[in-house]
Amino acid sequence: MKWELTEPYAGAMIRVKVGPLYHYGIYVSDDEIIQFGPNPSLRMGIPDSQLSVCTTDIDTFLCGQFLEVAVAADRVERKKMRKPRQVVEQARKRIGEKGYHILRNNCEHFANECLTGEKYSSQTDGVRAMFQNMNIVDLYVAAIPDGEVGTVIPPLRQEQIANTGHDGLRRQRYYVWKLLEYGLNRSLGLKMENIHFSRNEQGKWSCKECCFSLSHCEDAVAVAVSKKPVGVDMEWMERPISLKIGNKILTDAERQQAESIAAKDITEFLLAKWTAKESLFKAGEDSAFYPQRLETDSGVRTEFLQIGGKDYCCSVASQDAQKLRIYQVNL
Amino acid sequence: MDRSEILAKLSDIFKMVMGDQAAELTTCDENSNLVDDLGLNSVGILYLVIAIEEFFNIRFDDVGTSDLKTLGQVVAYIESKVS
Repeated sequence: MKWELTEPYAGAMIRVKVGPLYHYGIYVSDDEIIQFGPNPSLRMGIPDSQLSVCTTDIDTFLCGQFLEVAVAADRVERKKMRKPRQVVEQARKRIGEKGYHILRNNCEHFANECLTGEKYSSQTDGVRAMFQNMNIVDLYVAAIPDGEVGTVIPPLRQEQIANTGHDGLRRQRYYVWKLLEYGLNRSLGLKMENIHFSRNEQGKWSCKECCFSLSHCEDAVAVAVSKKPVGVDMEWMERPISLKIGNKILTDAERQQAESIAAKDITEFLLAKWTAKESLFKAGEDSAFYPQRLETDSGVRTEFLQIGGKDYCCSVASQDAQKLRIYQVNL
Repeated sequence: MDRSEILAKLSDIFKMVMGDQAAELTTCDENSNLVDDLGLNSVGILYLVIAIEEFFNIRFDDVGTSDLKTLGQVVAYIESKVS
């Protein structure tokens, strides 16, 4: 639909700007505009239950703003539009009707329904699409508590945990999954029983409903949750990487950079690079890991965190890494 | 999800909707009025309810949004839907 500053005609769908939104109605004459609820500028304090399809005059409808008239953008839209006489008839039939709902039955829904028979609101659809397309990158970290290992969903993961011989690793796998359960619900409103999990040949877990990445180390677990590919890696600061090994994971430029770093800071530098490269690998599709080829200048955020009294280096890789929010949780 | 978690997530949503002008909800009184105390206008309320639907995975089907005047009422409604 296109909107034009032009003379209205009986049966035209019209709108007026109210702040960043629009108020819609059906024009019959300057003395008869049919609308669902008054212009929002005049609506303060009126509950939705009391709003009804009503008539008003052009001046009250506009509240001093400009009138815009709907014009079909193309032949397809023009075919959908009822004849003006029918639009007026539809609108008049509904005078007195209640049931206003800002999201599902607002003035735009009403006007479009009169005009074409289809009930929709481009305004609410647009805002909804904006939030649906808005990515999130949430990192959850937690210390592994004392306590018994319980059961998890799905059975495939439960089986993996139960078959883990090493006690420490079993506890890490169990608690990272419990943290995942918490994070998926907190960030995306998802419940484990409704999620379709799978595991690839390399052992990486994923699901259809969103993207996530897991990491566990020493006495802590970390989970990254996002709507787009994401990777997380966490390492305990007390288990440093030597420069000899570090040189095998660094690019040429990073090796040069490392030469100018003081000995006391090299552990932090190497752990940051290592976790960054691991997180990038986990966020990507590659099956083989070549850290010396991975640049970490963008798409990664590295944080040094204290979890359960111990120091960890944690990196999250994502195209929206700058949106990272970190939550420390008690499991 | 318990009440404090709902409030924390709602706080995130408020910051998304209102940017720097968002009040820190976790320190607000649950009797705080959305409009008078928290500064939401009609646009903000529209954005807020849609964001709540998307991020909590619920629908505001059985209540008019004008019935939710205070922070406590919003939290209680979300709590009834997510439990």
